[in-house]
Amino acid sequence: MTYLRALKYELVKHLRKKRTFWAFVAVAALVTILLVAYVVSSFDPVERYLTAGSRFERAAAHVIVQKFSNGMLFATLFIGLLSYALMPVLAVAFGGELVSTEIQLGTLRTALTRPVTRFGYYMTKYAYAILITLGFVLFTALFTYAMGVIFLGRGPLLIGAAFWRDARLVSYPSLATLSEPTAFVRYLVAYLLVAIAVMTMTTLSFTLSTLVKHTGAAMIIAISLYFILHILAQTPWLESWRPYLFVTKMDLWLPVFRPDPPSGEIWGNVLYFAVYNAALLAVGLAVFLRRDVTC
Amino acid sequence: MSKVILKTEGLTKRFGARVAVDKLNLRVERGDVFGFLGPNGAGKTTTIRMVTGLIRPHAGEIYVGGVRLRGQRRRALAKTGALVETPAFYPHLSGRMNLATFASLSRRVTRKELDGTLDLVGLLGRAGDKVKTYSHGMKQRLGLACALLPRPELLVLDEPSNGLDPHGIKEVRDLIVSLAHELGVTVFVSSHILSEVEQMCNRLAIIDHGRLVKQGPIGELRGEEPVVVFGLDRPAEARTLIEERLGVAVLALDDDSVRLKLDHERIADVNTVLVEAGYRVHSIAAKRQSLEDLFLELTEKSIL
Repeated sequence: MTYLRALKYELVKHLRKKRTFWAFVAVAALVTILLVAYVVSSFDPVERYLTAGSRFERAAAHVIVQKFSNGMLFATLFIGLLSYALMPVLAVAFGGELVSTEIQLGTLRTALTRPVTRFGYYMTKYAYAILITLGFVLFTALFTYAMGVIFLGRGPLLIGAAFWRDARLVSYPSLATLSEPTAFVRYLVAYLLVAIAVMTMTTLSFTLSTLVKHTGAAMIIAISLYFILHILAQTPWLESWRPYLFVTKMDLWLPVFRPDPPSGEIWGNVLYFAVYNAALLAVGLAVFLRRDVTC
Repeated sequence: MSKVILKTEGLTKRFGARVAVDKLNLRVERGDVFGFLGPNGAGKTTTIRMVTGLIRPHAGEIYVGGVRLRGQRRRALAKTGALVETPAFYPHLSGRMNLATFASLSRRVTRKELDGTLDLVGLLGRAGDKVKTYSHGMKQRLGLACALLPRPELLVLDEPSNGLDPHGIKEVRDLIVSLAHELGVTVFVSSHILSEVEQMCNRLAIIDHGRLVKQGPIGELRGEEPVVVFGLDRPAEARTLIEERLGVAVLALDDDSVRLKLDHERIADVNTVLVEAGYRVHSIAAKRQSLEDLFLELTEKSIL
């Protein structure tokens, strides 16, 4: 009960801070701007990206994209755009201040004189980090979908043809559609997977906030590491490292939209991120349990 | 119920090669207002941090209410309230919300209890204001309220008067005394303001360089021998004479006086030796040994 009560006050404490909502505002602003700009512009994704194929195929693709251009498609396309860089970077703010701010303020001292175990206290903070990250991802999912529906209407999701990959609209051999309810369920599952990937950044910054005393430093190091890992992942002579770099698996949500989602691959990726998160958390916990509170 | 509420056995803490606290044995009994004295850097705060579970000792044990802190932290700290160094709060939250946040780590508290505690420390009128608008004295009182909310049997206070003006110091002192007398809370308070300790405490311990120098009831520690202050010229030279010729230890030197601890019968002897050696003794005053005299005698250092 003590820890549930503590979690409640942890939530209250952070929800009364304006900066907790910056990440939400940033996503909302970006989605709104891009959507409004798309609607008012004369941008044609087929002309812009579908350069391969015959004139007939391109015309057919044009008709298809026109027909299936709806809120569901827009929201699905946006998963990749938001989950690749923006959400992981913003998620750093959720974990990066949890312990270091307490050290900086001196409130860690007051809290740890209470009859709580350090393990319990640390895990309560981590539980908050999970909750706020899930809240952020859920908000992003629902807001993007709602905005898509408001501006582009409802309808089934086209899969197979209109699909972003490496910034290209790629064509699959066959076209398929998912009914809106089915697409929406898969859309939520995709965001759940995004949450697991984004959570890794929250956990990384949370662990760093245990190791350093300055909130800013924890966040800057976490963001730097994210981009460093991306650079390493793209370096041709370090290809053998790729399986160990979690940034290469940030698109784990993609298979959800295949006509027959490969559950083995999806669960494998979930396990991969779970192990990553657990390892990072264990490092932070080990330091926290042994640390002398001299702040 | 154990008579001893706080006990340390061979408590030791090192920071690198430096021994901050060295085999410290403390014994605080229920109902005590226990003063914990020592010069700056003597190891007071390190001891308090160990007692409150903030840092881990390299050796020794701590028992709170008979419960060993190591391995039973939650039980041991359940009836303890603490204010360690400067009180720290979340500046964007109100005083009441800060109190509720920290209290949530101890037990469930009602709004009535929160307000009752805030009233006790004189902050009820500002309870809804954000802590960032509080003065240092108000934060100190909020810190005390925070320490009191777990309904402690033992209250551990580290320099609670730090940074307060004379009115604030008196307020805090009166509050501590009333807590001890009216609520029966045992108070373990560190300080380097000797007059404050003298007015509040019934027992004390003095540490220096991490080691326990003396521990016991204040009256006993001060002893029966009076302190005699000889007003004279050249006190530094007189000190050598007194110590070498008479074998009497000088407690302290001022610009124009020396302080000695000696029986009434020997006052005349010392005076005779000084006058015969050519010193101009202009005053002799005998008084009961103060805590300051005791502290100086035991630590051989000047105090702040």
